[in-house]
Amino acid sequence: MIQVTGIKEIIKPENLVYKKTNIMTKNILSYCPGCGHGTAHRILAEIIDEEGLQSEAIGVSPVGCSVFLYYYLDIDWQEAAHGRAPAVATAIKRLLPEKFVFTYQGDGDLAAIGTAETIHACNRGENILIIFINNGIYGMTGGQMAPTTLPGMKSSTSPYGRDVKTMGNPLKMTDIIATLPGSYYVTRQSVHTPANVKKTKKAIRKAAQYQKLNKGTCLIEIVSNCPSGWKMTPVQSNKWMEENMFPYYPLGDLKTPEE
Amino acid sequence: MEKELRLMKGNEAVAEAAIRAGVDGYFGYPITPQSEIIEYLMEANPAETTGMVVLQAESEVAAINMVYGGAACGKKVMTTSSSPGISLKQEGISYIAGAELPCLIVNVVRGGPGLGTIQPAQSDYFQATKGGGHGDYHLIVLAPASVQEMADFVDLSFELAFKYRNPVMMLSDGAIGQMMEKVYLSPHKERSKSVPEWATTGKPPTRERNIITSLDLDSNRQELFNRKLLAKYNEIREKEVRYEEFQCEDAEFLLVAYGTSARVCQKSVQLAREQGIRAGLLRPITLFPFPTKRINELAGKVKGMLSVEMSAGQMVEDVLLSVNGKVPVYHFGRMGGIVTTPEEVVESLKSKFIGG
Amino acid sequence: MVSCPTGTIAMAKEVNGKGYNYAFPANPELCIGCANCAMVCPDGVITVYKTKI
Repeated sequence: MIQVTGIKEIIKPENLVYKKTNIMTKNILSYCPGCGHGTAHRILAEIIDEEGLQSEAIGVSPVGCSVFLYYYLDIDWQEAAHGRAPAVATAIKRLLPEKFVFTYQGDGDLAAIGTAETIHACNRGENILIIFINNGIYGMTGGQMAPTTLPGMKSSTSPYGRDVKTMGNPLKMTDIIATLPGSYYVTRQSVHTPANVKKTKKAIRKAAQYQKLNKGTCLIEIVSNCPSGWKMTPVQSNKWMEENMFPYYPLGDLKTPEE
Repeated sequence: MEKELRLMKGNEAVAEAAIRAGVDGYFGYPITPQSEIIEYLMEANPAETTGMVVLQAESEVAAINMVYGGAACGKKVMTTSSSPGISLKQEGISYIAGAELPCLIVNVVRGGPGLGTIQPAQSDYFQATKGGGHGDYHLIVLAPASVQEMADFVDLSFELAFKYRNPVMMLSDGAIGQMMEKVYLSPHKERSKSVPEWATTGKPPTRERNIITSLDLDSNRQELFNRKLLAKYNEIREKEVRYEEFQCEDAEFLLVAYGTSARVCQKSVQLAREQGIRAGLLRPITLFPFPTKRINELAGKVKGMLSVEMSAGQMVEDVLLSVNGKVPVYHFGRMGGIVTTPEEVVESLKSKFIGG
Repeated sequence: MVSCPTGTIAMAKEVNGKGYNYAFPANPELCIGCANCAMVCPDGVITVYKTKI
C-alpha cells in the first residue's frame, strides 16, 4: 500500500520538480481561462531565468490582450504603440547592442497594423527576437476578425464566416518573413500540450542564444487558442485549434541556421 | 574651445549640430524640403566617429517609434520630417509625451494641407503648439529664424527635453532649411554616459524594474497623471519663455512674427519707419510657451498688432488671447508656399490701421 | 485532465474567488510527479515536489 508521507517531509528544496520561476511577478494573470498567453509568458520567463538574462532583458509589449505583459515579468519593459514594437525594438537594440531585446505581439499587432514594421525590421536583420502569438482573432477588443482568421471562421466582424472574396485570405506572415535574408531563425510552435511546451521553450532558448551571434532576426510564432473569442471551452478550443489552425499554420521550423 | 565657422544650409546645420551635440541616434525618412538632414548624416557617417546611430526607417511612423524606443533607454534621439510626415508621427509623439520621454522632432514646414507644395509655409503652428496628437499634452516648440539658430537649438532642445522629460519640436520652414548662411558651430560634445534612473537598460538587482508606458486603466490615477503634466507645462510657461524684440521701445504698432516671417518683418519695420510709422517687431523664439505676458504688456503701449505668418492665420489666435481685447489684432500672410515680401507687410499694416 | 497522464487532476465542483472551477488533485495517490500539469498550466499555479518513499 502507498504510505502517505507528511507534507512537511515532501516540501523541501531538494525534492522540487517544478516551480514557477521568480521572474514571474506575484501579480495574478488577467487572461481568460485556458488562454495560451499565460503559458507563453511563463516559459519566456523561465528562459530569462535559466539563461541569466534578467539584467540584460528589455521587452517591448504590444497592444492587445497582453498589453499588461509588463505586470507579469520582472524585467525592464517598454509599452509600444499598436504594431510598432519592431521599430521600438530596433532602436533599443541599435543603441544598447549587448542587451537581450525582444517583442511579444499578437496577430493584429504584427500582421495588420504592424505589417510594415515587422517586415522591415526582419528585412534589416535587426538582432531581436519577435514572439508572435497567433490565435486568429482580436481578443482584447471583443473578438473581431484578424488578418490570420481562417476562411469561414466566425468573428464579431465576420459573423457569417470569413469570406475570402471580400475579406481576403489569411496572411501567413511567418512564411513571408522566412523568405527574407535578414531573418535567421523562424519557427512555428504551440503551447497547448506538455510536449509542445517543451519544444517552444527550446525554440526560445535557441533564439536567446542566437541573438548573441548578431546574425539576424529570430521569429517564433506560437499558434494559440482564444476560448473567449472563439466562444468555446478551453478544452474544446485546443481541439479546434489542432483540427483547424494547425493544418493552415503547420508547426515546425520554417528557417534554421545552417550549422 | 573655438567655434568653427562654416557656410551651410539650414538642414545641414541641424545635422552637423546633432553630431556635435553628442546625439545618440537619428531615425528619419526622406521628404522634401528636409532630406538633406539624413543625407548629410549618412555621408558624415558618425557611427565611425561618435558611435551615433543613423538609420533610414521605412516610414515616418516607424521613425518616431524608433525615437520612442531610444528615448525610453535614456538616450538622446531625434527625428526630422516635414508637414505631411509630421502628421504621420502624431501617434508616436502623443505616446512620447504620455510616457514623459525626452526627444527632438524637427519640422521643416512646407505648404499644405494634404500633399501640398514643397515651398515654405508656417501652417503647422496649430499642429505644433495645440497638440497635433491626441490627449492633453504640449511640446516645447522652438522657432529658429536663421541657420545659426537651426544649429544652436539642437543642443538647447535636448537640454530642455531632459530637464522636463518632454518632447521638444523645432518648427522651422523650407526657406530656412534650404538657405545658406554663416554658422558658428560648437565644438564636439562627448555622448553622455549617464543613464537616467527611469530608463530601461536591463534590470540590475539593485533596482525595481522600469516600465515605460503611457497606459493606465485606472481613471483616478490617470487624472493625477494629467494633473502632473499640467503642472509641468505651467512650470515651462513660467520659466522657459524666449523671445526677441526689435525696435519695440517706442512702437505704436507691433508686428508679431517668427521664423522666416520675422526676418521679413525686420525689413518691414525699417520700411515703415522710413514712412513715419513707428512699427516694432516681437519675435517669439518659443512658440510654446508663448510670450503671452510680454505681448499683453506691449498691448498697453501700442495701438494695434499684426500677426504676420505664412498661413491662413494660426498664431494670430494666441496673440488675440494674449492681448485679451486691449487693442485690435489682425493677421497678414501669404499661403501655399509663397514667402511674404516686406513691402506687402507694410501695405497690410497701413490698410488695417491707418486706412491708407 | 487532458495533459495529466494518470488522471490525478480534475476540475473542482466549487468555484474560487475569481468565479472559476479550479483544478485540484482529485486522485493524489495517482500522481507520478511528471509535472506535465505544471508545464502546461496557463496561470502557473502548480508547484510539484517529488520524493522517494
